[in-house]
Amino acid sequence: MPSIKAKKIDEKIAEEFSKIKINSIGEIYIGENKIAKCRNKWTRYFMSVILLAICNGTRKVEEAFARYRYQSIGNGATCRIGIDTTTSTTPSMSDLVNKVDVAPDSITRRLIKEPDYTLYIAEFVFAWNAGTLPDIYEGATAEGDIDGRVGEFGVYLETDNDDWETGITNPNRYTIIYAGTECQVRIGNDSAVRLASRIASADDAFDAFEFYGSIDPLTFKWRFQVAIL
Amino acid sequence: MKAKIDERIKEEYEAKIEGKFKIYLGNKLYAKGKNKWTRYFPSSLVQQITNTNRLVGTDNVVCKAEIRLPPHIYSARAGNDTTTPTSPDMTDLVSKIDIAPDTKNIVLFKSSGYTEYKSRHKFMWNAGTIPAQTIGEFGVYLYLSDDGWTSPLDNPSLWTTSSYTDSDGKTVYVITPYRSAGTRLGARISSADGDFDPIDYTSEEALIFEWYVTIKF
Repeated sequence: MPSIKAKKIDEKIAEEFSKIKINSIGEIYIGENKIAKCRNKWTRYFMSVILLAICNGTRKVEEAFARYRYQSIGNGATCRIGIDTTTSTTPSMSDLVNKVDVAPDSITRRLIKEPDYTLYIAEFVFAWNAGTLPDIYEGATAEGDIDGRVGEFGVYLETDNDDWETGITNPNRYTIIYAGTECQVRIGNDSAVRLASRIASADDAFDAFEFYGSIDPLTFKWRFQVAIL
Repeated sequence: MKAKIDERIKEEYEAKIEGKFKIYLGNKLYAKGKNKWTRYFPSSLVQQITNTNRLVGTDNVVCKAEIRLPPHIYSARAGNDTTTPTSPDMTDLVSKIDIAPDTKNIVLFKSSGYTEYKSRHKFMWNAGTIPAQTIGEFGVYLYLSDDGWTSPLDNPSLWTTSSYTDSDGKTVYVITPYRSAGTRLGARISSADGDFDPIDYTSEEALIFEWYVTIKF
């Protein structure tokens, strides 16, 4: 008989540093006024690409090109608002329900960390200048105005299409695209800019609001916070 | 519109990443629990999220590219230490037994409702590979950033790039989407933290260490 000690299963769940808690938070500003702070919901595409960011294997690309461009998760990051106020978020949601397809005027990416190494933040600040978005209010009839209220925000990132079967071994999921004189390499299969996170009044994340884009700027901050607890 | 800030931070929306482990001696489960994390792991993750793109190559010269992410040269080691608690800036095991596993693999899992995604890194040392001794710690090593960026950092472009010449004479440009990537300790499981009781390992049975990363909300 082997002399390994026949101890019973030792199951210890020590809490310190044992969890990474992700507080993904959205903040909505009209002008300088913060009107809401709320958590968001993720899509399956974002969860899949996060797992790949941890587990995807090394890929050597040999495509007879002179230039290669690797595109990370933040490539093409953007945000949209929408006017849906009734549809709850689901993980398979690939776009906002009723999108106002106007891009932000500026996007700032920001990395933040605490000195004690227990909190890491990837922050995106999406800003629409006054005059960029239409006026959105109940009963609007004027040309260019939208009848309704702002009820949803979507953050779009470069993500995997999540078409893998559970149980795949040694994942190596990349997308290779020929783009003129360069070869683009993206993380994930059929990788594209997809809805990664949705903040919805229908989820009770915030109260839908009327917004006069002709006169007010709108800012949406999205924070992906990784806390070591 | 409400005049005051509407602050709704609901627990039901909270996503989390958990690192868990199982230790087997032969076919027998010896211990299971949660690991501790180092700072290199979350740092590498947030850099990948905020980075955009990186172009490499030289006009009119055909070359190759190699993308390296955390699993590049991933591995695990056992160690002897039984007294030193884990801290986030720990770079290595305290008393490492520098013997690589005989086999390793990564498997991905997800729930049918798309609310839980999980990976399993499995490392196995065959019987006889590690000599008989006390084992008090395990470390998971990944290809991670040195976390050397200064906070806050706007519009980061943090990459590790290098090149080497392939067997056919072509240049291979290596890209990693975070700064100063190298093989670093990403997670530690330690008897000093109370994660498991030290193992009186005899080398007569295989030692299997499974590390699980679960993302769920």
